[in-house]
Amino acid sequence: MNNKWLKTVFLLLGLLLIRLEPVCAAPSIIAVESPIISENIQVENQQGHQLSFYTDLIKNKTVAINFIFTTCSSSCPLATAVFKQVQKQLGAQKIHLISISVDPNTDTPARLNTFAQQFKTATGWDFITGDRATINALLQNLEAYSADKTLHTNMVLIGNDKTHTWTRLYGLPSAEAIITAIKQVSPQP
Amino acid sequence: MRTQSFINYRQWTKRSTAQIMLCLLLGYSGLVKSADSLTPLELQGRQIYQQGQDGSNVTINVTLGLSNTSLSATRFACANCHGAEGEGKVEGNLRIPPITASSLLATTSRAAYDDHRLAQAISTGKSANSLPLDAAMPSYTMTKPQMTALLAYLKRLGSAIDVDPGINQDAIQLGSVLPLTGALQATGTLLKATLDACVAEVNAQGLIYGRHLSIVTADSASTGDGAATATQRLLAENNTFALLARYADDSEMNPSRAESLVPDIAPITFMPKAQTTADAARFYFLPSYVDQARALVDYGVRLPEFTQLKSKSALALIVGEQAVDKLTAERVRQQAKMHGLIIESAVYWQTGKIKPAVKALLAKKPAALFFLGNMQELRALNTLLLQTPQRPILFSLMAMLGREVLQLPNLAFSQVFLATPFADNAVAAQQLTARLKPYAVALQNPSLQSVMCAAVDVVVEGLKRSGRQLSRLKFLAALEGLRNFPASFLPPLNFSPNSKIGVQGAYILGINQQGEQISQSVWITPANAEPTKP
Repeated sequence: MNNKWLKTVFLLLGLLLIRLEPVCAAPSIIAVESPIISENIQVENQQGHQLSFYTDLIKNKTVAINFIFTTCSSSCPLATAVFKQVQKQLGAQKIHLISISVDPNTDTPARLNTFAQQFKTATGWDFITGDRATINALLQNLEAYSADKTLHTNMVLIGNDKTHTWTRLYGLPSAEAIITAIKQVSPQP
Repeated sequence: MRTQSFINYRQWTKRSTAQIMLCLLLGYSGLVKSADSLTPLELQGRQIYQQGQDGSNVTINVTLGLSNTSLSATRFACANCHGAEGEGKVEGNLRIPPITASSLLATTSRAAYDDHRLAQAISTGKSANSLPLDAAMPSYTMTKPQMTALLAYLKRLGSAIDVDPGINQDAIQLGSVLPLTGALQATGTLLKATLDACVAEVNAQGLIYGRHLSIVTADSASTGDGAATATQRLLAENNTFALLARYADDSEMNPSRAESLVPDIAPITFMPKAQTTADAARFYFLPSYVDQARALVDYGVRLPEFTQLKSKSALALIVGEQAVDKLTAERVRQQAKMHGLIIESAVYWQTGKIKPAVKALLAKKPAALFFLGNMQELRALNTLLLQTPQRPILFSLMAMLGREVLQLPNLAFSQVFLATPFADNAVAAQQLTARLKPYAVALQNPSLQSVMCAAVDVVVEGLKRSGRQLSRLKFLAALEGLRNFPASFLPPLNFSPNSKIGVQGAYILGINQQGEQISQSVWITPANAEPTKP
């Protein structure tokens, strides 16, 4: 009798938890410090255009940044396919995508352009390279530097410069997770 | 969308440990059931593993769990992550497990894989225990025969017989294509003898990780079509590790994807293809016509005679009938423009109709002519010029005219400047003569003979850097790291992942009116235009 009652209680509790689960499914983002990016950092995109990393790419924008290199055959195509999906779902108005090469010596703008074309990327997505020292300093600023390019981080840095809300998603996040985070850092209408 | 059952699998689930051990010995390890080479089915599987396609028109697709999208598998081939030998790797925080036969059979936190479970893992992303694999593992959609081929290959992955074509236990076979019959027979025969001599020299010095080199030369019959056919035939035999110093047809199409993975060292052409992924395995030793012509412009504008040329009509362009002549002429114009010189006068060659056009051009009394055409066209131009008192300076390319230009009687030019990739180098000539002497090969065509031996030297260096566990990919990666590699009459070769053209530019030879060579410049690498600002 006692046992049956306990079982019923647990069953009800269980059902209650299951019902609650969708409410808990979208945890709010873990906010991190806004990266400090000097306006003087000059980089180049896949079209060979000289850009100020802060003024042209970050200022007043919602951005998602990942870290890739074109001779990387495993995680980088995956991370790029994920970004492609993010772009497709959100559109260039809502998000500016940035892929920074962790191998600027090899990754020339032309090479990044070929890589980008393989994924049919649209405008609103810059592949960034530049002078090695500059890129290394930038990676350090963004806490994404690794001395060995093959051990580069699969972290995605998402933030909005206006609201100063930033978050980091670690370990090859899915398109869905990135989109959720983007929505949370974006200024609410 | 996904095909769940490709093969009528045997039920493995109740298989005893003993049975699995037996299978390991007989099937997966390849220790007992040893074959000398992969079967056609296994080779098809190998292509799927390495390239994400099998050369047929049946596309293999992947579904990525991370982005929920379907894409072609060519960008997500198994080997990209699991490695050419199935060794697995760590990249960033992604840990990619090994998938050699022994590791798949090992019982770890999961059950051992059999064909059924493996097909399930590949097509649905579920482990041997039917639990989801890491989200980074895509799900592949392929036909039943494609899956059968892939599974057959996975049993051989990383084994002693899982090697690229042309690699045996004790030999590496190379291939070349040269004109052994037809108009260029004499040159072709000389170059074949040179190539054979340099390979024999390597073998005489000892083995490379226990292997000697052998080389098979196919006949191009002195035609472009013949060269293309011979190359394809050589590759179809599937026993050539790399091509070297082959006579390439300038008009040949881009290689198919399978062909594009064959190392192609020092193709004899002055028209290197633009750097695309499909050409990643081609390592050119010779600079393009365009880069030689651009170097010639850079040299010309610094000449004292040239700096005095203020009039726009002082500089004229005469362009031959070939498409490459026109292409080169366009780049000469651009290069001259970069130096502030606009070339206004130009004549485009049309056999039979050239006389009035050239006469009209000469009436403007140009001080210098850039000639981009062949020797026959130059002879005609020389004859026309001889009828006038004008003796302009000539700028041209040795690669377009051939050495005959040095023997042209009655030069109608005050001076001639010729771009060439080959230096007049007595030491290099001596060294090459000494290398070929033991094999009774004389130095008759030093430039091209030197390319033959330089090609062999580069192959040997690449093989030494690749190690005993040789593969085409390792070999290509090794060649991408070659810097300042000596190449006889050519300047030292430099390759990188971004540049597969070993030298860019030219030496400029100065010739006087008597046809005597009076000067040779240092190597000139053409200046590039400043990148355009947005």
